[in-house]
Amino acid sequence: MMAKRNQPSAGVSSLRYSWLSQLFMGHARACFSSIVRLSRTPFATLLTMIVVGISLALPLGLFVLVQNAQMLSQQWNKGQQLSLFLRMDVSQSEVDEFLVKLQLDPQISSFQYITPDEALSEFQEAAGMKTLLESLPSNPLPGVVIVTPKENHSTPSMRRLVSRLKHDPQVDLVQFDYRWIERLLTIILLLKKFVWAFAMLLGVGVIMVIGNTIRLATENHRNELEIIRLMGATNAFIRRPLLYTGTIFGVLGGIIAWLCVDFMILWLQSTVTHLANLYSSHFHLDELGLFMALSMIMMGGGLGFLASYVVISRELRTMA
Amino acid sequence: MIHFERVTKQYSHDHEALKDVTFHLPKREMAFLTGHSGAGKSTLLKLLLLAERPSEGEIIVNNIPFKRVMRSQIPYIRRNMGVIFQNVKLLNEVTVYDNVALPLVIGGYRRREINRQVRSALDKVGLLDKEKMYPLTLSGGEQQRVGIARAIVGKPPLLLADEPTGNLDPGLSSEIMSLLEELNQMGMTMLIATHDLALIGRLKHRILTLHKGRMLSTGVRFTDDGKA
Repeated sequence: MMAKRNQPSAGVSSLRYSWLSQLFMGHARACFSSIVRLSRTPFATLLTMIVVGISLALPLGLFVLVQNAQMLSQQWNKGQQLSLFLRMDVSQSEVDEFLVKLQLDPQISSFQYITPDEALSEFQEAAGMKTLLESLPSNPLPGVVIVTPKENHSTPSMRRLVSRLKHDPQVDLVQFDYRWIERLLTIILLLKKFVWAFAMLLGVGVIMVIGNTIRLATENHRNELEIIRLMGATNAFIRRPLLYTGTIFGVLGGIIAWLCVDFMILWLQSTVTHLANLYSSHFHLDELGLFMALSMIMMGGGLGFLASYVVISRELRTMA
Repeated sequence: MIHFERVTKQYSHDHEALKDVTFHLPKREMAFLTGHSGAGKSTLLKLLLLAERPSEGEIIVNNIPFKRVMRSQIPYIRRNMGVIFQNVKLLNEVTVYDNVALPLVIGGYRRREINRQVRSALDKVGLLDKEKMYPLTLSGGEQQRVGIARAIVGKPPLLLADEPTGNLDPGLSSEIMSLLEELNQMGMTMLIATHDLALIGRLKHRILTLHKGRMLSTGVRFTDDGKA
């Protein structure tokens, strides 16, 4: 009787598998037996999988929606332009000088100058107030420069640009609704945080659901596990099939979550596209990418593994 | 094979399951362990299986001092002991064959070797034709014989049995006992806990008697011709 672990002495090696193939066989057997066991109680298995799937689908669905909202806000943000209303009393040379300055500004990607005359004719066409405007003694409209900034996303730099332009002697008024953008971005940030909190909560829920299922399984088979243990099974041997069970629950739950969210997007898609068309936008919901889907499945598997590991280790400590 | 030196097992402050127990069981010997229920038989077997550790004293089995066995080594020690349980404790979801194969699967034996040894063990207990059946379809006596086959399949040097005839009628009980005696003659050391005094009285083996945790007598060793 030897107390050493895995003694692969020459005489024994022909009877037993090598250390490596023992490991491989052990895993194959554990995986197989856990699948067999799960398929023996298909209803309970399905129920657990669906609960796990829904727990994963909720934060995932929210995540997808927030991501789409963010993309939408970026689209709007990109179209964000500043309107610089020049002072009425600037001369043409001052305007030219100002435009050259704008051209050299590193924060500005492009701009368009609208002379007071152009503005007037545009206004006349648009508003249909030709007669009224014609009756005025002089053109009441200032020159306008429409500036497209280089950076769209970062509000602080945007704000700096706005205040810099505002202090230019040629500029009378800068029109830019950064407050609105800021609010939207903050709301999206808030939603994102909310999704994370939600995801964490439901992640804990997934751990609980899988952990509890595994705990029930070990409780039902406690006698069996004790017998196997008394026959010299190592903790790893006992743990393995249960770890597979937990991981399988998680992975299948992840797949269910993925399908749920994809169906949800598909269902919303036509309405969203229709709505976007009403706003003459080409916006459409992005589907869950392969990367997201795979990481969802892996996360499910990871949570399942974690849950079953914690539960079994606890159970093993209380066994002989 | 088994050495107990002044072994005491205390579960709580006022409950001593075993008290100052000393006995030796040489190799190839078959001995019975008796005593009323609660006398400490199960505790003694648990100590041998390393399911419990003694509070005091030393246990040496097959030259291994249990004191020095670490937790992670326990499974490997257990693989050298066959165990027969009181309620047989077969896995009811798998076949007789798979039940008997279990210790070998745990030990990482090759499939061919498992096949060979399981057949041989089932042959020894006379159940070779029932290998594909499920335990619950067998009679009580047959189930216990499957349990014995499972205990001996790895050819362990030591066999421990906890009330192996506990739930069997006298006829089946003596059948099981003679099966165990046969195995003993093949060289297996055995310690059998039982309270079936009528049965073991007829057999000429050592009887260790426990009473309230103390070893009352370590028995007389009979020689093969029946003389003390």
